[in-house]
Amino acid sequence: MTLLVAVVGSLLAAASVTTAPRSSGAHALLGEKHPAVAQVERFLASFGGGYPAVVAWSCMGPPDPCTSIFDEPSLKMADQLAQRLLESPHTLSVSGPAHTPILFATGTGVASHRFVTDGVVNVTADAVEAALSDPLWHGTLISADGRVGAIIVESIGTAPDAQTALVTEIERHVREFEARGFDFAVSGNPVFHVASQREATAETALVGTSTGLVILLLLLVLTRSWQSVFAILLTISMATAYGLGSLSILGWPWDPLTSAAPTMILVMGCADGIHFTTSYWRARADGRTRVPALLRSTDETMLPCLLTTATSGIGLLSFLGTESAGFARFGALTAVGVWSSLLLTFTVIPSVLVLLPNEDRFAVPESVRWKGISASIIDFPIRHSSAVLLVSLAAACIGVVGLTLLNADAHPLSYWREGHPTREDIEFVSDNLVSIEGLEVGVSASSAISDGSVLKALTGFQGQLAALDHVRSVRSVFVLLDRSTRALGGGGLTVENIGEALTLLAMSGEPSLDQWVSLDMKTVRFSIATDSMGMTEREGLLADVSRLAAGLPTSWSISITGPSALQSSIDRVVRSSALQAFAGATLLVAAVVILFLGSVGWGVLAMIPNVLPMVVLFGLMGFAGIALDAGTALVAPIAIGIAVDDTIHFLHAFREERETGTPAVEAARRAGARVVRAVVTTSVTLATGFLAMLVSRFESMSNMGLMSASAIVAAFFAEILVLPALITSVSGTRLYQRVISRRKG
Amino acid sequence: MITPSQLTLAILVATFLVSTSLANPAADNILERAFGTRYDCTITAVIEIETRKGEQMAMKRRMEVATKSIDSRLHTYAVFREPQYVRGMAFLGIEAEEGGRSEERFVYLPSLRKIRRVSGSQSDDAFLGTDLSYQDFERQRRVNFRVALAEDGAVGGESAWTIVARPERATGYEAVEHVIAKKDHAILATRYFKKGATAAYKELTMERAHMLEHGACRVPRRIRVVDRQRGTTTVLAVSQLRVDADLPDDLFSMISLETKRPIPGL
Repeated sequence: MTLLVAVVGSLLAAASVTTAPRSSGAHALLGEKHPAVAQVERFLASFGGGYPAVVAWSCMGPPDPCTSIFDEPSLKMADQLAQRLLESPHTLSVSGPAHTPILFATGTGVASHRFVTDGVVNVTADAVEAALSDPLWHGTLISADGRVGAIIVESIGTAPDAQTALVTEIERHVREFEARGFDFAVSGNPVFHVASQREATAETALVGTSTGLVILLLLLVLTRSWQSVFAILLTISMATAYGLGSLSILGWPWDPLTSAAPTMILVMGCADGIHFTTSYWRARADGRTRVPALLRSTDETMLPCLLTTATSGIGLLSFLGTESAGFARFGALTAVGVWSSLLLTFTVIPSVLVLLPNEDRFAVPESVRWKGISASIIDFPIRHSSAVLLVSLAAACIGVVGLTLLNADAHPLSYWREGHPTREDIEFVSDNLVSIEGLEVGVSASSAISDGSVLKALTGFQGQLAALDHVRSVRSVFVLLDRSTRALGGGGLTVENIGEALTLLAMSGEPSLDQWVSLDMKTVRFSIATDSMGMTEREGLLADVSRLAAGLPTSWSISITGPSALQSSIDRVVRSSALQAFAGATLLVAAVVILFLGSVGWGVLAMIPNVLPMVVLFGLMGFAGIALDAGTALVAPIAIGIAVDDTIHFLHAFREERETGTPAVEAARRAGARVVRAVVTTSVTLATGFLAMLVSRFESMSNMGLMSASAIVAAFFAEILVLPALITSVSGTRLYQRVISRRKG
Repeated sequence: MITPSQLTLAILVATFLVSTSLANPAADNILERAFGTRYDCTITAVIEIETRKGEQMAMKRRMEVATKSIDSRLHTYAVFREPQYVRGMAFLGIEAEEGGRSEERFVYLPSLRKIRRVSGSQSDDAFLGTDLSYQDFERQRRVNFRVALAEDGAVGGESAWTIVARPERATGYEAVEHVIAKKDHAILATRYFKKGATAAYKELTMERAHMLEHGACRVPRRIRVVDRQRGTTTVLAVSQLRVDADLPDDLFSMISLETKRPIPGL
């Protein structure tokens, strides 16, 4: 009955996952209400542009069906594709080299030229020259050499649903033209987010299955019991279903971060099952029948499992206190999965073991060789405790310095591995046309731009922006107006001709005026194309732009946003959330350990071998210049919650040895010998399980797997080297001796 | 040998084809007459256009306008009055010859004291940054659309046809729906649709209460445009409207532009 209820419940939970909404990008990481996201939304609502999808194609000669963007096949394709996208209910605006008018001077006035009208291609030398030199075309709609073109599509919104609909529509139309020989690269923020969201969904199945297989093989080798393997796999699968099912109950979306949760639950959840089944078979080997053996193993493992699940859960729940909505969701649902695993271990596994035939199982005695290995492993740090601690201290100092250098880069480009089609598309568009980086600055002046002082201040501001490091170009309404006044033959933009230039633009069919200036002509958008930057450069540029904006009249309001500003917020939040969650997890885990051990001193001592490997690992990342991404930022708080489990087992055994009157050093040796095999087994299982994530083509997910495995391995070495060395050193101190003699007294 | 069921089917198909062929000319005629009542009128007026986005942002334009059909081509002459920075500019538009896509446009620039020809802009381009497009002012031709009668209905208690017109040329919309009064073929509403969309992304409303009726002419004094995609609303208010005014042909000339010749009666 218990089994039936649990299975039905997990099936319902698994089915409910399909109803969870999808999310990605800043919405997923920061949450819809985060100020940086809200600022971008406000900006888009004002100007209807700034977060576009880019559909680029090349004309390099065969196999491309064109040698220039202005070739007839290229322009006809661009016209038809743009037309279909224009008709789509998911698009706000579409610009492209075929249908967007280019303004240039003619003998009698100005021409607003379209390269394709009513399907008829009309290419003139004047128009081509104008297009190649136009600041709004060059680097946006066409490359400098005219061999790469792009259609820029603005979505009706930045919400995940709107972006998914837009990208799906783009892909549908692009496929048709790919069949005609065109090679497209589809890029831009909506595309990154939809691609990452899809990739994450696909990768969940791949990585989850791989992890399941790895765990299956490991358990078979380690437990040598098919009944245990079946019971544990059933338990962790159901726990994963419950964890993910909590998404739809809480109304949370499925995003790239939550897609890593199933693997985490599978790996972390199997530990309880291993302890329970091992204890069960030991009890059976002692001659107990099934039910008494189950009761015995429940008695023996309930408390430690509860404690280790508590510490793991604390590590995960530490994300709830961070600024990142995505981290909080990941932590919460993984915690639900891990706690479900605990509950199912003591309900489902006994049910399965009662039902399955398991009369012929016998305990595998601990081999003599293992005992020898265990003794040597523990003996080394005890004999060389000072050296071990000195090296550890040095490593900790290096790690702390490295931590100060640790940056975060959760940029979309870092999601995918080199050579991944999505990454190649992003790089192609970035190299030839628009950079995926960029800042948007909105300035609301006190009067319209036709006012002389406003015009002077804003054109000056534009010039200052253009002179900043990492800035490729600055586009604004003044670029459009300047182009118009020159086309009219009136020289540059002045307060006398600005009205005429605005009217001419409006009259010439220029569709993008809304994207650059508000209806009342008081709010102006400056769009800054930048180089690809790291976190430090991005923050430096933001600071420079803020400094220049501070030079504008104080009564004006200024907003600085755009992909790079949003990225900077994401990076900052990822970095601070990682550190915050790590600190929170360390403190909470320490509190639990202190409570369990009943000693502040031992509690603090227990945390050292767990914090040390994380500090060293992430410090080394800082030195190596490897930035945290959305996946690796999750590792440290989780790893500390897992790693402390072995410490608890060690110190629990140590305390038991001490209670029998064994001297401290000998007690450490014996405790180590008792637990080292379990520590090796759990570390190997966890590390191998996490390494299964390497099959993911999603770089942040595979990085997360690699870092988690590295953290577990590092924690393992700290456990077997640093903890015994610490105990040996501490027990030799006068303070320790005084405390002991006081207790005895 | 034809079976009774085949005969029934043949009759049904024939009935459908006949009814379809009868319906289409009817829809064509309705739209042709509706365009005639709207555009075949010589008018002079002062037009004020206000486009709003939210409560704070507004763009206002005011101009004096005259239109006249000369040699079957609609001519438009306008002198800009507001905002201040466009005061003194004047505009002349001449409908394209048959087969042409865009009207000829000329603009007088006070800062240069010169006329410049603006070529290439199209009828579905936005009119001076408002929610109206040039085609809302230009002479519309039924032959540029594939027309179908969608349904009978009523607008403000008034019986009306809804005509669905699909442009023959590529435009930013898939179909436009005209609501035409049965009484006098006045166009009461126009709605633009994107492909596959059931809701209009742009809608123009011309209420009967604000319609000038003069002979066969039905000219709206107030047009309200809601552009849901852009998130804006435009209200075009017409004052000092005169229909079939006696305007000289040379009002619609370069000389008038250069001299910013006043429109008679305004």
